[in-house]
Amino acid sequence: MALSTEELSTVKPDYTVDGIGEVCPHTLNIALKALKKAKPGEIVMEVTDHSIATKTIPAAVKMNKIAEVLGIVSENGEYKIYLKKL
Amino acid sequence: MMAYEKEGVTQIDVTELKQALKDDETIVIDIREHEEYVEAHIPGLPLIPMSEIVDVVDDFEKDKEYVLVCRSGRRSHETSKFFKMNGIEQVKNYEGGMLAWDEDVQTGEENIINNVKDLYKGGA
Repeated sequence: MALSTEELSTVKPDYTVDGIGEVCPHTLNIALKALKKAKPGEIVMEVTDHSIATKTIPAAVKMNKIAEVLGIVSENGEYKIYLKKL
Repeated sequence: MMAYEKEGVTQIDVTELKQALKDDETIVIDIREHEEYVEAHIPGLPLIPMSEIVDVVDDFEKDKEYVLVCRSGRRSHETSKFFKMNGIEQVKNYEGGMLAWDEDVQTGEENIINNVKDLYKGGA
């Protein structure tokens, strides 16, 4: 269930992953790594400036059925990708 | 490096990829995003981004042989696993990705696939 930008801004992630300056594959690796640590229901948020990650991370978690994409907040060339562990 | 298996997916190197590119039976697909493909891709390769494959995987013919290509081999590995999860068994991952490609590249929207069925019309 995707959330609005306002709703996402109130979400407190259980894990925050810094992907600034990183590109694929690292942006994907660190998201999947954090999701492995997270417990079901916990929220992982990756912040990245690599726009391609906003497509590949959601696709990867959907393929592996490991997380739900709550949404992506885009601000000043940075993207916050919110994922809820399944 | 010879082909080996990782998480149930056969990994191939650039030499084996070049062989696959000459083999009419094997469908080699670039699964990166549009902007990456347009910047540089292996000449002739069809593009179907990973972010689209996740929603159209049932359109792929299960009895064909595939090799998947991305930037580093990471996304194509995840997508290869996804293929197998969905009954597409004959899929290999080009582990090196475009980072390990050492021949000419093409730029532009050479072979953008909008409908998976177009892969099988020959010349894809």
